[in-house]
Amino acid sequence: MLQVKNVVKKYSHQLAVDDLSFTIETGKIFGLLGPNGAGKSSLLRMVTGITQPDSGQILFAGEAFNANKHNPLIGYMPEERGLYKKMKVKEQAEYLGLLKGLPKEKVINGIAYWFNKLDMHTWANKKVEDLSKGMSQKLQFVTTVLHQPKLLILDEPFSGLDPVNAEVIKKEIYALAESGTTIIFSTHRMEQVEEICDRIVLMNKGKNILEGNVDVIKQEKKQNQFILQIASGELVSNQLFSIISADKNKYILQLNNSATPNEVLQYCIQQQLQILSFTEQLPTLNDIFIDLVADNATTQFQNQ
Amino acid sequence: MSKIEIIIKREYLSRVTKRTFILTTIGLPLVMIGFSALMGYLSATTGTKLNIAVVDESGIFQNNLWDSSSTKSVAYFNKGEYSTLQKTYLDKKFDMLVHINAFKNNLPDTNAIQVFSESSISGVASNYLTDRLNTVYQNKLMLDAGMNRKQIDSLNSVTISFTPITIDKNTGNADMNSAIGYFSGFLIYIVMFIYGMMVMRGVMEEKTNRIAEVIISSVKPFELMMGKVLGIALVGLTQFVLWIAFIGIIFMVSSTFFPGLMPHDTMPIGGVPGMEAMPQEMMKKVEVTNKIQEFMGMPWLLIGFSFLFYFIGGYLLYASLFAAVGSLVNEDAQDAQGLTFPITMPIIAGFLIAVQAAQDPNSSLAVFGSIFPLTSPIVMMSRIAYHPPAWQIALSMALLIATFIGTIWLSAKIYRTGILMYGKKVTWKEALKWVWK
Repeated sequence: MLQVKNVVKKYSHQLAVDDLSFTIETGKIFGLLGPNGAGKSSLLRMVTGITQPDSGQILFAGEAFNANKHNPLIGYMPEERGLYKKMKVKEQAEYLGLLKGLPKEKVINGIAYWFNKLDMHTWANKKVEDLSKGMSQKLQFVTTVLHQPKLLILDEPFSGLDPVNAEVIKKEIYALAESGTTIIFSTHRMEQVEEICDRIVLMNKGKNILEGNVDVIKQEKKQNQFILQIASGELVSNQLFSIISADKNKYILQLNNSATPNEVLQYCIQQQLQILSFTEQLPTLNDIFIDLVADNATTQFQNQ
Repeated sequence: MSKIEIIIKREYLSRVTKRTFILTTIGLPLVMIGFSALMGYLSATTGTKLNIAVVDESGIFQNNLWDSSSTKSVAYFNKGEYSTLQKTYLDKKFDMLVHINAFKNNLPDTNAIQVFSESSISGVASNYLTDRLNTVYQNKLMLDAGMNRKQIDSLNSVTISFTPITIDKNTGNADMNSAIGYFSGFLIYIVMFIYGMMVMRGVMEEKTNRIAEVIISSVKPFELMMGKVLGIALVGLTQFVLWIAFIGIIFMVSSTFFPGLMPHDTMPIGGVPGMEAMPQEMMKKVEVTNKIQEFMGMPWLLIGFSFLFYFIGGYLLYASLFAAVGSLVNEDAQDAQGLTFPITMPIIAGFLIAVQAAQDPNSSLAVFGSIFPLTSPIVMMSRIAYHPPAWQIALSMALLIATFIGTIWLSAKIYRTGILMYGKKVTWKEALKWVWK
């Protein structure tokens, strides 16, 4: 669906995107990850045709990106987003729909469909300035998907949303992916990506530092750690494993290179410990990211 | 509908349906008409009533210095009463006391006539007094020289004026020209400020609301900017058309119901036999009639066309620059003031030149100002009623077109970068770098 090839974007003082390449397949939810200032928004502005790369290429469905042709196929919800405060909800949705080049009739049908689906009918004639933050985020989402884009780009879609509304939007994102929409989900919130995305690109300082399937990455990056919960008793480090942390009867164990889970369990049974659960601890994307950029002292990662 | 048309439509409709637009469109002409009516009414009916005491020791002015009228009452006193009057005229409710000494050798020196009052007397009263003293004294001298009353009266009624004849038949009366010059220059000046600022505020709103990026993912920045500039231009034109229509309607209604207000309907015009015998009041009315005739005879087609041209040209030039400023401003509205300064400077300079040009339309400053594109919309409008040479108008218009194309191009370059820059204060110097990038 989308190919980014060796894209470079420079602003006056800094290199925002530095020789970045990756590929997104059709119908997948793709996570674009990275701390603030990693170059995510700069990249998305190029993908949506707002700015042009200094060098490199962006291919949309195999063709060189052409704003006039491909823009109507893209829905973009930028991180810095807003609405006309004095406009009514419905007028606002209509206006943005028409600007996407949609015929009036389709705009009206689309609004009816989405307003119904997201329960927005009752406030369709309110002014935007009278909406709560959650309501205006919903409206923002509707205006982004109104024209049935083939590629939906969501930059921090859940920022400022309460859990209930976030869940509603999440459900719609899944449904759109199900029906074949390719989705780019950009965020600095790693835990959201683990939950939603199939594949990710991890960006730092404009570079692609890790790319792949979320599960595969986790398997690759796992560090042979297990969580053991026991009913009672005491556990001490030995030649099989060392204890990283112990919280009441919950232990996190780092297995030694040659040790297997079976050996650990065997040892525990021999010690006559009552085992409640034993699971492998996979690293979170957050851990992986910090690990990858740890040697880079200047990286300031904010996980808020 | 193309995207730019959709934007123009929204920009236009969202403004003309606002309550403030409707209020100013209807309200302003009403306020202006009401104000001038009030002024006219006040100046016709009131005025300070003056009580004047006169002591004439010269015997020249006797009882004919003034007659009592609605605005003054005059009392004449004998020589002997002067010393007491001097102390008591205020208590006796006189506003001023005029004391005329006997003239030495029949010649009035500066000490001959004294006027006492509590505070300094008004310009009107002072002028009137001077005029009357001179007239009465001249009449006395003429009588002394052996002329009779009738001869003196006919001498006094002589007023000479001249008819200006110019090669260009359309050149009107100088007063009228300069009035039109002031008015249209001022109008263009106001237009550029009001609507230019409106564009700037609109752009700032889109940027601080963060809707700009949403829209720019659907349309080109240039379309968004020009949609706003053109939409607001239409708002301005609509307002003008409504104002003209509104004033026209009021004019027609008032001439139907109060025909007396329209002197040209009832007064004979020009060359009436025996006009020299007309009383002064009558003369004034004829003057008004001539004014109206001159007004109607102005080259309105040229003025109207030029106004439209310079309105649109000047607006496009400055509105695009104001749009560029709007795109540079962040949440802090105070930044806007510093950034607009280089734009407002030439507008104000243009207005200052225009004030002079309306009086002296062919000075080299006026000619320069009316050709130089940053000031030409204002200055040329203030000269237009004087019929400046065609080559100057043509050059001025051509330069204006070239310049607004240039400023639109320049502003578009600044705008497309500025509108997406958040949180950073940008200076003109930086912004101009984007242009050449």
